[in-house]
Amino acid sequence: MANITEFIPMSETAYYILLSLLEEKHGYAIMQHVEEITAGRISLGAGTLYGTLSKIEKAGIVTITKEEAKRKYYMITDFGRQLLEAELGRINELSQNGRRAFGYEK
Amino acid sequence: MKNRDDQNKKYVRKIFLPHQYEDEAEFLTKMSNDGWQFVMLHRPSKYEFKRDNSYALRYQLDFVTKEEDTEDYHQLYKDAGWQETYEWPGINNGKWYYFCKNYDEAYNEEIFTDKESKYEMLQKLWKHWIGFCLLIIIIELNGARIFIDAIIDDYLNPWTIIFFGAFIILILFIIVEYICMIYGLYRKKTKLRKEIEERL
Repeated sequence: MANITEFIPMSETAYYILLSLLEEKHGYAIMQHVEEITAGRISLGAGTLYGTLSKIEKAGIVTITKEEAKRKYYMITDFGRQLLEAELGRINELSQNGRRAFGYEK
Repeated sequence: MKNRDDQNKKYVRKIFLPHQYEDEAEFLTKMSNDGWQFVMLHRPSKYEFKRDNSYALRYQLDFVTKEEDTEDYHQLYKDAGWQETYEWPGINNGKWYYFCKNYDEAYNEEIFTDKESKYEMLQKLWKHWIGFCLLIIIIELNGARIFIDAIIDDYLNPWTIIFFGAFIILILFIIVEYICMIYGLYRKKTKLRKEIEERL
């Protein structure tokens, strides 16, 4: 199994794809979900999504659960979940330190 | 090559090297906005258009290897609203797909929306092309060597020099084109790599 630190920090694209795949989804559903939760800020291109999905699938971060009506469905693996938690921890630290430095919180 | 009798048809000769796929998409988009709709590409570099002002399309090109060319790939583009209009065979079973969407809806839409995935695409193209380009260059250099030998063997005969000289010039053109291909792709790829690495 690959090492977690190898994939961290991850790109926004990968982070949001993984977040979406905490629940099983097909490619286009991932695009819609990411666009929705980022209020339209991130609109994934089909090429970017397809490329990233094959890459993280090869790395064992997500897995293909089924194929239906020509669409592959994906879901995060246990390793992917660990990875996402580690990344979330990192982002939290970034955010906390930033807020402290700006005096938003003590 | 213009067909004068047919005002509704137009041919444009234009060469795009593999790393210029974005320029090619932009060219087709511009033609479409000018009322010339892309029909097909005749080998090696003649684009056929038909006249139709009623719509305008935005084009995007993607390169896929045989392993990636799955039903699911095509379905994803379809779901995302991209219509597949054309395909162009590459080497080693690689393929270029031409996708388009209504221009008003997609005037600034890209199929690659981050640098990492764009780099991966270029890297894939590089791996696919480099061996083939080098092989062609070696074959062509070998051909040039044979013609040079022929000229040396018979250097007093001006016809030999003209005849084989012409072949050598042709070979040099081909070699230069392949070197441009390698260099162009390499430059585009390393520039993007650098941008990714230098990001704050």
